[in-house]
Amino acid sequence: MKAFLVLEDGTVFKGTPFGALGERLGTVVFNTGVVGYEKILTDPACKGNIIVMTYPLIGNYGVNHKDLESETCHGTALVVRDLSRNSSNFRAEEGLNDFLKRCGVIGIANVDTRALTIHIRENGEMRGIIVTVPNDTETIDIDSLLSKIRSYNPVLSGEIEGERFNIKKSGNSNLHVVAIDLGVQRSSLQQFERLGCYVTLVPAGTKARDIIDMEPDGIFISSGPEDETLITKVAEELKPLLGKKPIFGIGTGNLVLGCALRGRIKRMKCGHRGANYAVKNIENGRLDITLQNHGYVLDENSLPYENVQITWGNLVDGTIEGISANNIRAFSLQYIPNTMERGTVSKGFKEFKEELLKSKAIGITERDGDACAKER
Amino acid sequence: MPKRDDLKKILIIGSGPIVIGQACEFDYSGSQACKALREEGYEVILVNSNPATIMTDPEMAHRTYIEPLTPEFLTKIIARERPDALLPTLGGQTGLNLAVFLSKDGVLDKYGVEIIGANAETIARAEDRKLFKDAMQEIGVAVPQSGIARSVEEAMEIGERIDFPLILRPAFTMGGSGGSIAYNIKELKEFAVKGIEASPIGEVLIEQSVMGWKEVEFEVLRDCEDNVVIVTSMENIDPMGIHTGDSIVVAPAQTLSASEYNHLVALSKKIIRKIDVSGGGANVQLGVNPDNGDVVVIEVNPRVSRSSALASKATGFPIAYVATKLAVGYRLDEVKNQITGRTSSFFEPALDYCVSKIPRFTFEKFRDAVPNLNTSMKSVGETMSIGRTFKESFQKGLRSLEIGRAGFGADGKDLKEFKEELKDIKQNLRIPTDKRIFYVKYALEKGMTVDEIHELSKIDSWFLDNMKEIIEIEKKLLGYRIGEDKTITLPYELLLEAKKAGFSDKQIAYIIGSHELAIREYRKSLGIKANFKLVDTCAGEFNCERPYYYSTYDAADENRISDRKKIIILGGGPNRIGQGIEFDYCCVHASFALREEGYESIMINSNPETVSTDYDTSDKLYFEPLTREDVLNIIEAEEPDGIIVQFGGQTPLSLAVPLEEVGVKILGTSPDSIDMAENRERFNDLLSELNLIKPENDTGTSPEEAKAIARRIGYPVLVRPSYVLGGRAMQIVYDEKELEFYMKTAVEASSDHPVLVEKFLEDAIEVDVDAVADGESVLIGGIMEHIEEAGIHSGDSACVMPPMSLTDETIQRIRENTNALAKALNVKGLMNIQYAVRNDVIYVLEVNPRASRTIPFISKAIRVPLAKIATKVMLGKTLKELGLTEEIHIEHVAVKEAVFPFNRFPGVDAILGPEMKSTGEVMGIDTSFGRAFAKSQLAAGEKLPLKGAVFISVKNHDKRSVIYIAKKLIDLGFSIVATKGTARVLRQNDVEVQEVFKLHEGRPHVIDLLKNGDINLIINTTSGRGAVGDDRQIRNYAVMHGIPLVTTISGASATVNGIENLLRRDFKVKTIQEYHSLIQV
Repeated sequence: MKAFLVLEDGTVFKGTPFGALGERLGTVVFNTGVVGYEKILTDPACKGNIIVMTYPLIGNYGVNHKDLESETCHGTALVVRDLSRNSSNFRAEEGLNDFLKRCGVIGIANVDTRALTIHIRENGEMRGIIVTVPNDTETIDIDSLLSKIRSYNPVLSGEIEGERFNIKKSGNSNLHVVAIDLGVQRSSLQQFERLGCYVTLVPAGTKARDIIDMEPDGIFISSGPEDETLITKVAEELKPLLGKKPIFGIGTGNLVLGCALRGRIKRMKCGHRGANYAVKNIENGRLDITLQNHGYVLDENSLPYENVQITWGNLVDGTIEGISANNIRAFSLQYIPNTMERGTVSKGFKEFKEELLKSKAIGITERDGDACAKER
Repeated sequence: MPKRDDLKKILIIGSGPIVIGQACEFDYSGSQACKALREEGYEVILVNSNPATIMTDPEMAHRTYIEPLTPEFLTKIIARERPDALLPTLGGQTGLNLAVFLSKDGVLDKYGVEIIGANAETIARAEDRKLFKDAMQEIGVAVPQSGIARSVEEAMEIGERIDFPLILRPAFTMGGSGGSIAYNIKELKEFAVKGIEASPIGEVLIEQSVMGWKEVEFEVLRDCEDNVVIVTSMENIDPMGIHTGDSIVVAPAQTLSASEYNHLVALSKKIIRKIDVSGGGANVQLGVNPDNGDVVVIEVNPRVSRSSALASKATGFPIAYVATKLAVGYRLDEVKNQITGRTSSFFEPALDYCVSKIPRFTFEKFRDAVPNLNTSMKSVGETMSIGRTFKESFQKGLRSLEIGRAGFGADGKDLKEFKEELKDIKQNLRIPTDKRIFYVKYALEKGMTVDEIHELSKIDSWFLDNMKEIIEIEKKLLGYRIGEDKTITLPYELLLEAKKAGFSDKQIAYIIGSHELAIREYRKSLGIKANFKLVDTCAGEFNCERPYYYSTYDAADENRISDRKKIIILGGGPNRIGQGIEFDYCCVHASFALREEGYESIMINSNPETVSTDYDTSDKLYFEPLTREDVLNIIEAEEPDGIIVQFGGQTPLSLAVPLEEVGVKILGTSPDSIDMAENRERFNDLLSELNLIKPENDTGTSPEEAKAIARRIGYPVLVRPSYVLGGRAMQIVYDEKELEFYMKTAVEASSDHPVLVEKFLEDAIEVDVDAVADGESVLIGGIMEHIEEAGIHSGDSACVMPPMSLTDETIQRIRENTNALAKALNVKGLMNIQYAVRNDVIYVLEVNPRASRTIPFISKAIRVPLAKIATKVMLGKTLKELGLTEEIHIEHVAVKEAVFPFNRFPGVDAILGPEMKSTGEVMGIDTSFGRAFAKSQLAAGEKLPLKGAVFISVKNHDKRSVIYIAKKLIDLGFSIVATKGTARVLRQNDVEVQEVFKLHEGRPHVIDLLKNGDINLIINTTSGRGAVGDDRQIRNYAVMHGIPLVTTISGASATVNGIENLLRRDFKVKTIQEYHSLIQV
């Protein structure tokens, strides 16, 4: 059996199929994380992505379902250099091959993923298609595949993990967070759990007043797939909420808050996808290595307002990694601050909780929209 | 934060001689540190006793002291230099221990010196077992259950508390020295004594064994503002219980899940913060229980280390360079990433390849040593290999090892017969030796399952399954054995699969019954060729400026080939006894010379410890095995103008002929000349043409022939296989019986070549000469007289230049002989000649038209970088053009002394002979022989006594010469102890002596005295057969307990001379630059 990856510019990579069989379209992106394939595949932000792992040895430790970021895979296909046939870990519940099969994700192995990565780096993230063919002699019709690619125009609507992922109010949780679910990761929800907050997940289209009716202490905008239309739509609904309750966004949530504060987003040639992105706090110079998975950023020229601060910047390309409108207690981070360390909570989530407590105690005094009142 | 400008002058401590556990990785890190500090405008003062280092080159630091690394000498240097700060984190455990001592002793306070990189509290928190344990417990990080013992009684108490087996770790030692595993009370008692002795502070940690757990390491850096990065994770294939230096290690870790990995990263960051490394790096070693994920922290090294050197080479992140910048106050984001040229050092490298580090052992040198691997490190070197898969890098690593293997077996060297097949294999899996990994192969071949092998070896099944995949490919290849017509029928897909799994052409040829070059031609005809990919720190995310390269069989080639004039230098591969840092030093100089002359310099090497594999030593670096196949791949890609094989020792030299066969241009002395020097018959002919003499010799291919030769030329004779390195399997035999025994054991050493039998010259003085020749003139670099008599391997003998006891006439004749040989062999480049002088007759023992071990020593002594000069000569410059025609005469005296690893190999006889056993060397430099020699002894770690008792037991032949030595010792205030024979001779010559029993004569005997600490120095020479009875036990005891031991009479006399100088206590320290400034040209 063979599998082919065809890119929209006509480049073809050949490999060996694994996981599900058939045909999958998607945007070809590369991820530089050495571990975490199961988290990446199940991160809803990867919806519609054909994921290329730059690390060549994938599947080594199998899959444990507790480690997943959502119920199922969201990437459409996985491209690897070498698939491990052995899952060696005491927590492994199944192998990557079986997992992909179950989730309907096509895998393609024995691809020169470094060459593919460099191609994407030089030419930008682009659409592509993966097809598997049953026997080695069969050829593929490139032209028909290319036309499929050209007519592929994914709508990347937000995901809903559903109500069962709400975190119920319990003895020690007395802060209520409404989370706008653009494709929330379980590890984000875990952060709230550890903070003692209870969470109501609402779909991306939820109206502002419905959110207010839920009487939240604060609003969280999750990460998720980056659909320009959806981001704009959610941002519009967020505008009336600015200044009413503390707001915290991560990943795509950062883009949404930025847009709600009248900023603009732009697509990067190549996204930030991996676990080693260096960011710097503009105010205090603090440095951090972060997990990221995004292909859009906020345009740094689109937020010229006195009360909107760029709080974090990328150390390599200078892109916006975080913004804050302090006077209305709204802030967000482009990177994913979910800590992977057992039982701990990251600074970003902790700061949000402090905002929740403060606003609960003294309320928010600034009025709606003031953040954007004055240009710098 | 910008760099600190309150500091002007910074002192760096090097790590001294190469020993097991502390090798040339510290030259690499020290050199980077010098560079990092000089760039910032600091005045750099360097102390290191090891002349074979790049860091002690006079241009690396502003002021360089080649002086003993002892508190006394460091104090003198500090008093003289008054540095503002001391950077102790680059000189291994030696540097760190010295810093602690100087701090505790008040020296640093007295002279106002600040420790940077890791302060005294940080060092103590990491190194002091109790403080460390407390610190870890405070942050909730588990440590193995343990206790600290300062006495055997305390050790036994702990033994009652914690279950066996127990690990013993002496505090403040390196490479697990003195460490052991006790399985019962008796062993605990025995090992506690040893451990307490091995620790400089007499303290040993006894801890719960986590044997069989996974061993994982993280390299962590932290700046003064608490920013932390993890450079890489590394996973030991060998489980806990085998020292990490002896383990096969992969980077990054392969079998940790994301959640485990993230947890360990978080722990490592927590740990470096708690230890409070501020402006530097640390290595964190963790144990992970593979059955439930439990984690314990094993140890933390708050300094650069062997592991950090490996991590640097594996990722492209120059840890030592960056750590030095952090030590002077920079923040991580203020230091540029030199590889990408665009990002900062606040980043965590992303790898898109797999790195394997494989240790190189030399048990063949210590035949009596038990080759078991445990917590005390025994390997002497390592190779690093890079591949896109573990299978590929693992096989590349195995063929880089220079142990005659072409990969993971399948090379005709696999064991085919076992004593008791499965039992034998299981035993070797359970009790690991240097051959363990091949036993995994045998086990798989005999049908054992991955799980069964895991149970016994505790090697993670992921690695075992990968090894199984390799064997499965081998089996598939076996289906294509060539028939009568020699036609290769391997299908494209299978051949490509094999190459991607790291199979060498040699292995494939062996499997299908073909020839290496035939496979090469065949696969090239199918379009299967090695492609080159980049080590770029970022997995291809950015285009980077200064990558280095590795080969793989992926589809795309990323090599960047320039159109400049270019020369390839072949490095030396893994360090081993006989081929060490000296050769790397020469390769580095060759590279510098090429760059000075406007050539693109291209280095090929597989040794991650070295300066030659630093990313900016050469214009281009290939991290590749030094085999014909791998080198040819690069040559075909680069099409160089020439290739240098003479500098990397035997490894590249042995490639000269195979490479020339396929049309590669070898620079310098021609392979034909090299052959003339190495081929006995051609060499004998050459000598007679020149009217030079050599001890009578002949070659024999059978024991009978050898015996006949020996009878003809007369015993004693020196026997050895031809073409050997470091005197491997070389021996002096005194009678026929010994010869018979030797012939039985030596045939294995080299099957292709006959055995050479040569007359052994007893009591001759050996002389080493290094020279550079250009075809017209000859520059003699130095004439060195050995302290030990001929018969002791030149690498093991101390030597002095200028010569001490040779007459002017003899020296003049040596010069003439050297000139004649250089011209006759048409040497272009370096040459080394070994002479023996007896009764004014000069014998030529050996001529090597290549770099020798003494090149760096001489270069430091005479100020002329001989390797660099030789390279320029090889490029066509004449010595005249270079302005170097006159031999340099020095006013000072330089002594080189060897350093031995005997204490690592219990049971091995510490006697010197024609087979090299030393791992490293030191240099003593001063104005007189006595002082220089004394310095060399101090530098070598020999604690020469200033008073007390000297035990003398010498062979009959030496009895007369020892009288003078004994008298001198008595004059110096020592008392003499001797056994019957020696005592009688001494007494007859009016030497007062206390007689003591031999072991079988009664008690108290010699060993009793030794145990009571009543003997402070041992002079013990043995006759012929050597290693027998009492003498051997005495030597063993001395080595294991650090009692100074001298095994030659000439060594004894130099030692006495040294003690005399030590007693005067008037040592002065002086920089190498100062000595050089006094040299008249």
